[in-house]
Amino acid sequence: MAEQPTVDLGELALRLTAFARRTFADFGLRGPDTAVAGVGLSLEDFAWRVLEEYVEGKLAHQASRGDLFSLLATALRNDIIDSLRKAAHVHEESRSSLPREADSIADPPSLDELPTAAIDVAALLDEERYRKRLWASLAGEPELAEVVKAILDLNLTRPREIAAALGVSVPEVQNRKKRLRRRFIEFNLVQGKMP
Amino acid sequence: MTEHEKSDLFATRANRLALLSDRILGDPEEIDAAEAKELLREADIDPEELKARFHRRFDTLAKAHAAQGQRVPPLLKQALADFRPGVSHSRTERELLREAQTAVRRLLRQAKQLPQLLAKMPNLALAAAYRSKKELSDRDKRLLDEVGEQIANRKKNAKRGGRLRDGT
Repeated sequence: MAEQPTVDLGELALRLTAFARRTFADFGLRGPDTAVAGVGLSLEDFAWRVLEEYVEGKLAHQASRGDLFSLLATALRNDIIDSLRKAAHVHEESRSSLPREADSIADPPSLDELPTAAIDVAALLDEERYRKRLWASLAGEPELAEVVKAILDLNLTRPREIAAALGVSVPEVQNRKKRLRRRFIEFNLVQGKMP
Repeated sequence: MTEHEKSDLFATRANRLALLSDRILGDPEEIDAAEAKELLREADIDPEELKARFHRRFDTLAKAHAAQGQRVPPLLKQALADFRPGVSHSRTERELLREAQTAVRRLLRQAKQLPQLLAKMPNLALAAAYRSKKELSDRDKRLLDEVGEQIANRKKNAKRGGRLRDGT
């Protein structure tokens, strides 16, 4: 098992928590105070769990399988997905099995029908909704929209290819992607519909 | 659909969304330390406070190991050092700082020892073996004598300083 002796765990923790924030945004979860319903974990908790497993030796890192941050980030995202799956299950379990009577359709919802802090699975994993959220976050940002179009419409992935297609430099593409991440996360914080 | 199938379907759809996110927003490792701090501050998370909270958690973990008579894992020890509040430098910066401190300490120690070292030196006589085959001018001789005198004085002063330090 090869470790990276020069890795700064403090820096790693900051990057992981920031990545948790991005993952929350990916799945439409709101701000930093949000805890995934059903499991009660915040983005800080997710970052902590992965770090704890790493320092305790439960999460082994092999240099041949990529850098340490990638390994921990993947583990963190899998943890979030797993928690969402559990939360969705809890939501399904707690739903009322009794259908409404025809004459009560217009009535206010009963307690078990009220919106809860639980997860709407369909909305959570819907790629079309994800794209809509993404485009909505780019309103008034033509430079960022250009990058997304190059990725989705022209199917370009590498910064060099995107830079060539847009007629800009590679650092400019990287800078725009950074702005894109920030914009998407911020937009999600304001517009997020999930708990 | 069985519970197992539902779970698989959930994981598949979630992973597809994650891949789409990576395609558009970039791979996770594209978030560097500077961007991470920015993203955290925008979410009202102070990076230093976050590190301090992690330090407290690692500290509790280390104490739990110690309470059970277990050895604290090396990475946990490293985490305690890396997360220690007030230590805002990166690991490389801290290593450089440590090296610089060691070098300065060594220099100071040597400087303090200088009078004693000089005191131990045998009496040196200035060898005025001028290599020039030509006759030295009076001015040259005067200059060389002055230099010799300065060296002798410096040596004398250094010896006196050493004795004063020793209380003799």
